[in-house]
Amino acid sequence: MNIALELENLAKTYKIGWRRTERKAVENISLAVPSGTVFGLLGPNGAGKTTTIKIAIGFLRPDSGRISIFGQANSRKARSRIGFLPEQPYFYPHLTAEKALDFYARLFNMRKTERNERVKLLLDTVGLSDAAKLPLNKFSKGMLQRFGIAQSLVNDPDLLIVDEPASGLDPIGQIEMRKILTALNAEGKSILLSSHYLSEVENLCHEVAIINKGAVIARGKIEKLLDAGDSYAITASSLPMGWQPFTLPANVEHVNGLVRVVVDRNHLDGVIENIRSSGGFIEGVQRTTKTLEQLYIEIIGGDIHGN
Amino acid sequence: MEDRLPTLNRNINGVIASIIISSLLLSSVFLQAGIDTKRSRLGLMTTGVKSTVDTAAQFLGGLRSAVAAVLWIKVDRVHHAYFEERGAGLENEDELIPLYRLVTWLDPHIYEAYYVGSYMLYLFDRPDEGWKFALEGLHMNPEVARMEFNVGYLALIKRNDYKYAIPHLEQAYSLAQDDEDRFYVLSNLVVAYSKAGMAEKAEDAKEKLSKIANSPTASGENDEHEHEHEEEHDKQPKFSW
Amino acid sequence: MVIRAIAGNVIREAIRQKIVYVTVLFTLLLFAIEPSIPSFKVGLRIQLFQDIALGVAYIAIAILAIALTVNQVPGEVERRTIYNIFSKPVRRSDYLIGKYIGVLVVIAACALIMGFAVFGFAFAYFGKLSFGLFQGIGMTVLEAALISAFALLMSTFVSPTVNVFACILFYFVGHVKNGALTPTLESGGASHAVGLVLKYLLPSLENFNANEAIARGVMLKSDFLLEVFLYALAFSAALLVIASLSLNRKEL
Repeated sequence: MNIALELENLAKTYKIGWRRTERKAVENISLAVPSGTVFGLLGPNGAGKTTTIKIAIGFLRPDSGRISIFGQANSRKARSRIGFLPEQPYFYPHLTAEKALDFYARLFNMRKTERNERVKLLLDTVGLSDAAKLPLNKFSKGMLQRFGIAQSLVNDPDLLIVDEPASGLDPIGQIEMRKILTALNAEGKSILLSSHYLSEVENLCHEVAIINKGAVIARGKIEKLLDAGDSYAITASSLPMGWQPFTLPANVEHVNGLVRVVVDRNHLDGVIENIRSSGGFIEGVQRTTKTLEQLYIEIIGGDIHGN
Repeated sequence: MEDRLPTLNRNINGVIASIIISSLLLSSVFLQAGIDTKRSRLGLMTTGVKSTVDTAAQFLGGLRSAVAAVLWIKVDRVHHAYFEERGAGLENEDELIPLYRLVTWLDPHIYEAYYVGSYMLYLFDRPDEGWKFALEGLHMNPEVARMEFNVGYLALIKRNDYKYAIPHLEQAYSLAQDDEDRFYVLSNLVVAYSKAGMAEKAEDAKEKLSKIANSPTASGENDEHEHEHEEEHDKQPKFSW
Repeated sequence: MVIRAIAGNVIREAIRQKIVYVTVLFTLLLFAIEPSIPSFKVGLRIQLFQDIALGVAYIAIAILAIALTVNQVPGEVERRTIYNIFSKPVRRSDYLIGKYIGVLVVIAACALIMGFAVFGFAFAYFGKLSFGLFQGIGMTVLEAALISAFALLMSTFVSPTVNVFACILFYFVGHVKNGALTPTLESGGASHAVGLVLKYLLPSLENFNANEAIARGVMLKSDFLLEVFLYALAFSAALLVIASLSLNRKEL
């Protein structure tokens, strides 16, 4: 599988104030964004997500480590394949959406006709065609965020890096943003998404890395991370009140006349037999998964409590 | 090795940049030398005058000479007021002397301030300062006939140093723009040559003087000019433009 | 293309800034009321008018250069608009050159307006066509170019407020340098050497001040103008190369 972005053992320490007090921002971060996937960087505020992204783009120099963009070191040529949407982006307020996009297109040395076509297409993609002639200082937060996506796509990049794209958006705005990103991924673009919105990451990302205090503490495909292990939930009906399986350990819940039993793989067949022999009817059997929220609280929350 | 490449590139870029910067600065050194020469010819060099006021005045940049000119207007008006009220005499004129100094600090090319100021310093018994002031005026304005005349005149009349006066008066004569100017220079040259025993030159100067005096453009008799350097007992002609 | 785009953006932003209009209008107003200053001699009025007008333009253009440049880089960093530029394949040196050219175009345009105004007023008041005034204004633009290059260099690592003070100091040192260094240069030994290094290492802004000669009616010769132009070019280029190095090292 091709790798769009690879970060290996990145470390960055900031020196703060006149005394040059050192503060570690990221430490030994490694991750790889496979081509065509959406990769989520998840973590609380101040975890090191933005620092990691800034290093990847070249805004910051790492103290150590290696960055590879489509197999190349970070260079101008490599950057021409990247699109970037910063957190809470700000643009030249007096420019119209059309003029501003044209300005960004000129930074890629595009010809006038090419620029005109691209600007039109992008405004259409993000649903801002009607606001093409409107100065950016008249844009709402959601419109600005969509414009931000448009400017990051001006070079039709293969890798899109978006930092907190839903930050400050209302629920409708968040859904719209998610739709745009899903559509872009469907076109084959690789996306590195940094967010602390769990639902956004859960819905969009194929892979995720959870960062806390500058280090990756969990990483992998999202289904695997959310996989609770070898446990199954059996839902049954027509069981007598207070029914309990003979096999333990098992979690039993009685809800609205239905019984939900969670057991591990070894006891699955025994419990099913037990339900049937008790006159019950098996409504369904499902492999159980955690929610991202559960996982996040398990990992980060434990760490918070640990402190 | 791969990790070291960016550092290596930065070092190479640094070396190249250092070479470029050094070359540019070096070329500016050569250019400065040429500019200094040309500015000097234009009378724009002010390095000769050393004083705190001068240093501070340079901060005004382009406004410096403008400020000097405005100040000179005021000084000159007061100066004229004294002369117009002859009865009042010149006893208060010494109050203007610091202002003449200030004007020349601000703009050493307002040579009238040197001209009047140096004479005033003599008048108020400060001959050494007056002489230095006149020399400074000439140094700052080497192409100005009146500054040559001023030094020549003061050397001849106040310092009785006719040998020193002659080359300056001759230079003033060569720089003079018209007959009116030449008339005053020649009047003093006649005296200087006579004192130096250069009778032939004195005669020659007299002859030139009479030619100018007889010409219709000469204005020695009916001038309406200013009264700088006029001193009854010196019986010297006025030098005015 | 990149440089042009960035320069164009600087121009678009500058023409929205009130300081540009206020400075130009205030300068034109000063030109207009200038003849009311009493003159002291017939024949010297035009000289005085030109001298003062060039002096006013000189200061106004220097103020414009400082005001337009100091916030170019810090403003973009603070507003984070710089991320949208440097995430694209833009060389930091190109970005600086674009900014510099943009500022210079605005300054030159303002200077040209001032130049035509002085020229027009001089003709209206004294009936004299003083083409030399344009030489004076041109020299002023060259000085502003140097000040802008310095301000741009400083803006890569200090805040706009500190930069304004640094620019005023630069202007001050650039103008008084020759006079202040005279005693050092006239002394011998090590201090003479130090004086020489300072004389040539620090730019001499007095090089661009020929107002007094121009006001006298002197037309500056082309070889002198060329030398002054090359001097401004060499020094500005050196400052811009240092600025590029500084911006390359800057973490955003």
